[in-house]
Amino acid sequence: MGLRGLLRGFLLLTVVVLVLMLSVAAMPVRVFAVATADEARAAVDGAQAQIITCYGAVVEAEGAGGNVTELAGVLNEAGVLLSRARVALENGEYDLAVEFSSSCTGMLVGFTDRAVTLRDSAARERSLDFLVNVDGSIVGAVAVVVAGWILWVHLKRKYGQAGSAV
Amino acid sequence: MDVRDYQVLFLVVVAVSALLVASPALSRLLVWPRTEFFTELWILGPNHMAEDYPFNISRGQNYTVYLGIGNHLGYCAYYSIQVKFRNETQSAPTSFGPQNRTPSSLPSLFNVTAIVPDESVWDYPLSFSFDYEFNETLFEVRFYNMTMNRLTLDLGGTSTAWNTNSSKFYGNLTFELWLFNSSTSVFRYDERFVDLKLNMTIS
Repeated sequence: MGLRGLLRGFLLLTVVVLVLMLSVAAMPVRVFAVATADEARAAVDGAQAQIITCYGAVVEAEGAGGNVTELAGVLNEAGVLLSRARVALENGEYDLAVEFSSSCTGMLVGFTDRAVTLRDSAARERSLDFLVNVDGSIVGAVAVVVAGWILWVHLKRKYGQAGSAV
Repeated sequence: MDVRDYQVLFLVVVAVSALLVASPALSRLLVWPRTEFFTELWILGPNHMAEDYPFNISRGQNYTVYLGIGNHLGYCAYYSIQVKFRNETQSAPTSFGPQNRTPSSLPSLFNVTAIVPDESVWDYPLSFSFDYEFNETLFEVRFYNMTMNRLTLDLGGTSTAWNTNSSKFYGNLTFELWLFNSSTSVFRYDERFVDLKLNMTIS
């Protein structure tokens, strides 16, 4: 192999190295990102805060009379992920802790909106139920008493006098 | 005929009719108020019954129990169950006694969280196994770790001594109930726990 061959080999090697360097630089940063303890702790705390916010929304929805069983189920699933994130954090597996925390918060996207919708619809239903069953039946009972009194007065006029005349 | 002879009958008919019509309102207004607010906490064996609890433990063997919570607090509650493992001499939690009801001072190995609507029940399967060895020189069982629901939890540094009265190596797997307080945003020990007393066999 002559000098030209060596030069060609060197050029080929340079091109390969350059291509490799460029492809590494173009890769998403997170592939090589290594979470620190502080980042992992922040992620876990963020997920915990998110669960607490969602829990507050569930309590409000339940207070309005909504059936929150399904929402509680979602929160419990998120809680399992948070527990795993905590264990990973304790074990020093910071990437895993961040991953579990992200999955946890991802699961809760739009959760408070669902809880607010449930709260509002439950409040409407409760108001309608109150109107029909409580207000309606009280008005009905008063109507029965008034109608009875009118009927009694009418009967007394019609048959009371006739009775006394006999 | 005098209609006044039927006055009492008429009044009774009108009153009963009025009560019948008003019954939906009465059923909502005349409700006996709830006076007892509490949480139930229980542990069941592998068949979902209060029997066949794991006791004689073999190294590496998997055991299953079911943890349950019944919420009667009047609102959707956020619980945390702190899983702790201790030997006979380490700090134990207390409950239902005249003394101060306190949790164990040991750190929690694992937290199971549960959000349970009012008057609802929550049930959670827990599978666990232990990795330990018998130290013949010190005549004690030394723990390395335990696996709970496929998570490895470090038990390094925990050991249990030979109980001369019962001729066993005892360990306690404890589940403490903590309740989230919305006004302070912290979990507080709910003064109750359940535990499994385990005999670590060395065969």
